[in-house]
Amino acid sequence: MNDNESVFGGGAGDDRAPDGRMSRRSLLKLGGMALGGAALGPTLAACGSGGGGSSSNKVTVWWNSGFYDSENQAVKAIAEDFGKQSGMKVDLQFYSTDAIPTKEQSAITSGVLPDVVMAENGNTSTYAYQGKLADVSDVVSSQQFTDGATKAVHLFNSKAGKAGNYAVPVNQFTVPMFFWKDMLTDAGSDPSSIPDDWDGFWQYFQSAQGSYRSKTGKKAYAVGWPMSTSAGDTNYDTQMMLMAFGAMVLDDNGGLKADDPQIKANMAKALGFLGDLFKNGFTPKDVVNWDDSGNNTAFLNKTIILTPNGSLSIPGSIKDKDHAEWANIVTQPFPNKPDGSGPVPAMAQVHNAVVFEDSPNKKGGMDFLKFFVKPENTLKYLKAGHGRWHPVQEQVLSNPYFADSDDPNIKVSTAMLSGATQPAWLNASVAYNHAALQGLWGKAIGQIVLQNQSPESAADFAVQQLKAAFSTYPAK
Amino acid sequence: MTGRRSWQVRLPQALLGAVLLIWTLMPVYTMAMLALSPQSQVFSGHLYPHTPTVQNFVDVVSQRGEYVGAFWLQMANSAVTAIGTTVLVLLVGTLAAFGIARLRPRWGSFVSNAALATYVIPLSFVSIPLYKVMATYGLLGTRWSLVLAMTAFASPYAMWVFSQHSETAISHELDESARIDGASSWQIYLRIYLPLMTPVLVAIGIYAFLLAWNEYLLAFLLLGSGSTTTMPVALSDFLNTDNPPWNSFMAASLFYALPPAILYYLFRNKITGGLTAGSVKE
Repeated sequence: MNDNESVFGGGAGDDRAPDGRMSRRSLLKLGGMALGGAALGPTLAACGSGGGGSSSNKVTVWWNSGFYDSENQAVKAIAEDFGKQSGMKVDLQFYSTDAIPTKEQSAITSGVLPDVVMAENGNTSTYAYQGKLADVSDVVSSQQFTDGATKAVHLFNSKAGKAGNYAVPVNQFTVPMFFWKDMLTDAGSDPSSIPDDWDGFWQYFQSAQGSYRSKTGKKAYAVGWPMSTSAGDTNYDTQMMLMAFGAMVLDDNGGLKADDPQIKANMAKALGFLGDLFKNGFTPKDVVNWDDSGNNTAFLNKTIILTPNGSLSIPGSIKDKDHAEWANIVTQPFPNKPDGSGPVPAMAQVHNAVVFEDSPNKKGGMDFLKFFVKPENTLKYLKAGHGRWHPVQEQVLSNPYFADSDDPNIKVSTAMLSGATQPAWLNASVAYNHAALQGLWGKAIGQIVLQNQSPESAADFAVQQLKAAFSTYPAK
Repeated sequence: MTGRRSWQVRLPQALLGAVLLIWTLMPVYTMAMLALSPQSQVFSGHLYPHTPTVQNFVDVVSQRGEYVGAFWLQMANSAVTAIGTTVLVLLVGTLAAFGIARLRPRWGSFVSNAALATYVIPLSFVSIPLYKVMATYGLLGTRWSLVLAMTAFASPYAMWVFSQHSETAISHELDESARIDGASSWQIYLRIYLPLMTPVLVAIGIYAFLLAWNEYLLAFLLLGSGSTTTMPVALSDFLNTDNPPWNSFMAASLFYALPPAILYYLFRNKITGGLTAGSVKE
C-alpha cells in the first residue's frame, strides 16, 4: 500500500483538512445537504393531503362532532348538497366538543382561519366582543328564528361599539329532569304521583333513596347533580336552580343584577340547597369531579334515580339499543318554584355557528350557513341527532316531529321550550360567559361542599367574580 | 444477618413491593377488564367480568363500531409519524453530535447547550407559533407537520446524549487512526461513529418514537380530522358523547398501547444502557 492508498479508499481527492478536521468544502457539502433536506419536507408535503387556507371556490368548515355518527353523516350530506348547488368544494372537518374550542382559539391566534366554525362550547360572545367575527345578519334574516335564538346571536362588538348579528343560531336545548320509573317502583314509590311542588318533589326522591337502598340492597342516590368546575352541565343546571329561587343574575339586557341584596340572598338559598343535597348524602360525592358525561354515565348505570341534563342525550343514547330501558326513562320539567309562584322558566341555550371577519372565503361561509339553516336541512340534521337538540326556526319547531312527537322525551322538551323560557346567561352576556367558563359555579358550590363555607359566603364569592368579569367586559 | 432479622426486613419490603405492583398494574387490569366486558356490565362494580367477551377486540380489529371505523388507518398514521420522527431525529441528532463532538467547530459546545435550552419553553407555549409556521409552509393537515414538529422537539435531547456518549465512550484516537488510513469524515461517521453508537441510537430512537406516538396536542392542532388523524386524537373522540362505549374504548386503547410495550421489551437492555451512556466520565 503506497502513501496515497488507504483501507478506506481515500486519496488525493479526500475532503478532509490536513489537521484532520472537516474541510470547508466538506462543511459546505454537509450544509447544502441539510438545506436540501429541509426543503424536502415542504416539497413532499405539497404532494400530500390536507393543507390550510381556503380559496374562493373552497369553503373550510369545522363542525362540532355529534354524539351519534348519524348526526355527522347528516351534516356531510348537507355539505355535499351545498357543494353540488354552489359549485364550491366543502372541506368539512369534525372535531370533538372539548377539542374544537382549542382548535378555534389556535386558528384565531395564528390568523390561519377556517370559513365556518360550529363549536357547542365555543367562545362566540368573546370573539364577537373582540371584533373577530363577521356580521352574518344576511343569514340570520333569511329565516324566522325564535325570539330567544335571535337574542342569543345579537352580540356586542367592542370594536364597532355596537351590537350586531355575529353568529347564526343552529340549535337549542333546555334542561329537563330525567328519572328511572323502575327504580322508583323498586323503592315502593308510585312514579305517576310525583308531587310538582318544590318541597314535595325533593322529599319524594330523597325518601325513594332510602327505600330503594333498603329494599334492593343497592347503593343509589336520589339525585345526580353536576357540581364540578369542568362540566358544562354545572353551568346549565345551576342556572335552573338559581332561576327556581328567583336569583336572576342578569337583567333582560344582559346587565349584572347579582349585587342586588335580594338577588344575592336568593343566590345563597339556591347554592345552599345544592350544598345540602351534597352534605346530606343525596347526591354522589364524585359530582365535584364529573365531566359532561358524569351524570349520564351514573344515570344509565342506575347509581342515581334523578338527574337534570341539558339536551335529550340520556334517553337518546339507548333509544335504538335498548327500547325497554328507553321506555323506562321519564323526562319531566322542574317542579314549581319554592315560593309557589309557578313553574321555573326553561333555560334556552343556543348553539351557533360563526364566520370570521378574516375568513379567506367569508361569502362562501355565509352561503353555506344560509343553506344549512333552511328548514328542510335543519330538520334532517336534528332528526339524525335523535331529537337531542331542538330547532331554532319557528317553522321547524312546529314540525310534527317536535310539536307532536311520539317520543315522550322530545314532547316534554318541546313543550318546555314552547312555554316560558329564559335565555341561557351564557348566551346573554360575554362577561357572564367568561366567568362561567372559568368554573364560577363549580367553585362557588365547592366552597360550600368542600371548604365548608356558608352559602352566603359562596354567594359573595360568586358576585365578586361576576363583578370582576363585568369590569373586564363592561358592555353586554 | 440472622434468619429472623432477614425475615423482619424482607416482609415489609415484600409488602411494599406488592402494594406498588398492584398500584402499577391496577390501571392496566381495569383497562383489560373493561375491554373484556359487555356494555351492560361496564359499571357493574365486579372485580372481574362475569361474562367475558372478546367481541370488543373483534369489533376494533374489524373496524365495526362508531369510533373505530378508521382504526387501522389511524394506527398507520401514528406509525408513519412515529417512524418518520425517529428516522429524522437519529439523522439530525447523529450528524449534529458528530459535527460537534468529533469535528470540534469553534462554537460547538455553545450550539449543543443552546439547543438543550429550548426545553426551557414548554411545548404548549410554542404550539400556536408552530401552527402558524406549518400553515405558512402549507403543511397543515399533513403528516409532515407532525413529523417535523416532533423532530424539532426530540432533536436537542438526542444531540446532547449523542455528544456526551461520543465524547466519553468513543476514543478520538479511533478517528485519528482512521484518518491516517485515509478515511473521510463521512466514512468515519458511517463506519466508525454510527456502529459504536448503536446502544444510544436504539435508546434515543425509542425515545423519539414514543414521543411522537403519544403526542396529542400537536397531533390535534396540526393534523386535520380526516385521513391524517393519529390514534391519540382518535381515542379522545370516544369521549365526545355523554355515554362513551368504554369497553371498545379500552379495547382500542390496549391495541394502541401494544407497539410501545413490545418495543420496550425488545430493547429494554439497550434503553437503560443507552440513556445512561456518557453520564459518567471515565
